[in-house]
Amino acid sequence: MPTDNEKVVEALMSTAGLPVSQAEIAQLGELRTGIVAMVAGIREIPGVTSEWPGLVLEPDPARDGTS
Amino acid sequence: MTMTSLLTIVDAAAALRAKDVSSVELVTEAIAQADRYDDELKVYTARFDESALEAARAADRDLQAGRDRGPLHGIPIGIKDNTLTEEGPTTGASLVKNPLWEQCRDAPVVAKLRSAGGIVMGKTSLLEVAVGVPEASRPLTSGRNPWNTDRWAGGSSTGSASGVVSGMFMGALGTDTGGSIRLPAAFCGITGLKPTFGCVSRTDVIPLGFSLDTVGPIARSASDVALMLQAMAGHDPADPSSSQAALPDFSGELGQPIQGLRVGVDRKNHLYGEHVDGELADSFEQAVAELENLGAAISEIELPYFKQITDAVLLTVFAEGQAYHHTQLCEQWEAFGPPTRLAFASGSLLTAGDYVAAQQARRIARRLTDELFDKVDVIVHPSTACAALALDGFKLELLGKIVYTHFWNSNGCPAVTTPMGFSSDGLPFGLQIAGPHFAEPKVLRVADAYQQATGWHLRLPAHLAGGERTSQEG
Repeated sequence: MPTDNEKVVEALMSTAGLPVSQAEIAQLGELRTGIVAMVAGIREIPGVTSEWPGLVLEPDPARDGTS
Repeated sequence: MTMTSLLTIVDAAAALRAKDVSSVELVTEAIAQADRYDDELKVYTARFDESALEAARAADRDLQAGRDRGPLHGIPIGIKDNTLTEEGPTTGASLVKNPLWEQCRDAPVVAKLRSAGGIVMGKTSLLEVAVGVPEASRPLTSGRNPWNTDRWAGGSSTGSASGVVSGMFMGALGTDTGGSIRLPAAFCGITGLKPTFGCVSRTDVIPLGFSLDTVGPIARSASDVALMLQAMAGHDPADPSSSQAALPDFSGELGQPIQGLRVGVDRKNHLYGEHVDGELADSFEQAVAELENLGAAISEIELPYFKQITDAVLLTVFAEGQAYHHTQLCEQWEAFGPPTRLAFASGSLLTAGDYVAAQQARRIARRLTDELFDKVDVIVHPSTACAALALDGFKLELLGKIVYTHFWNSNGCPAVTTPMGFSSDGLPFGLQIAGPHFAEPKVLRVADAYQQATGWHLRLPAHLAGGERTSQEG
């Protein structure tokens, strides 16, 4: 029986149109656990939610003359 | 006598102008090295022997007639097979078909290298589309290390690094999204530079992470890397992230002393993890001591949110990589290697909000790192936690824990790796030197001073050097 996590993964893959196998859904379930932890760690950075969410390396005229 | 294909670019350029050697001789010997070692090392996905010899003959004629294109004139170079060239299709070391990769034209950065006189020897192996892991069933993703063929040469610019070490070319083009220039250069004991984001055109290079991707040089020495970068860099209106800044003279600070230069050392994020090799840590301390001996002012620093920023880069690659490859993933799923398609599928495991949070974190870390660079001129730390990994039993999870390169992709700063010694079993270690945006001349100045003082970058695997030099020699 698929776990709840695997059911979520299956739905996400279906939405994305990716033809993953059942074995890959199990692997992606493990990866999702890791990704959730990564995101949680990122969200712990003080001030992260109030930071300007633009591209990090967008052209910066003051720095490198791009426009 | 050193084989001509194992010379630095600087030395070969001098020999060409002294008429001690011709470009045809350099290319012929590079081809001979490929004949000897490519079956085992898997440097090439495609070789252009005939067109390279033709170009070498033209280079010799031009030099004879006084038409000198500069220091890369007549020099054999390799091109990573995720970058378009006129000689043939680009594969990305993948079975996936994408009509954009079938086009036979030079990417602007290749055109620049060719215009500077570089002789394109062939396309070099890589991890599939610059991501994934070595797969035994796909030999072109599993390039072996010239120092020990049981070990991986690193990736994703695998063949570009191992080909320089083994004399199949003197310099190579690599790409670096999370460390794909610096990791193989460190594992192979040579010099690799990830330039400032936007410094080198990415047009006609297969994208991986559009907000992280850079194109840069791999060669034996800091001075060779500087020469290559000078030829590769410059604004490209077709690349939306291309900088319009005036280019510095990338060789301009080479040879200058580093007396008084402020060098920040990050030990906390790099020396105390469970996978850190004790010999590598010792080599790093010796490298720091050498920089201090050369007059640098050493201070302890800590890169901000190092673990979270490494994760932010991985999440960004998953999402941006899937965005580029989505059509092929839907239509040719089985053609991707299993690790590659799972990496890209992971892009659907994070939400849009998660992706934005990763970019917000990157901005915070970039700002804090800029503040660090008000206090120090460059920052140094090991390039990896250990020497080249074994190909047998390769584990992706381990790779993620031993690579120390992602941070500098996150903020777009230039970072170079240079050899900093060898393990007791003869495998090279890498020292990473990073600086603020467009500080390549200073970063390369420090790398060059260190190389001149230590000579680690000139070590060659004994079997490639005809037994002249070995990793064990002092």
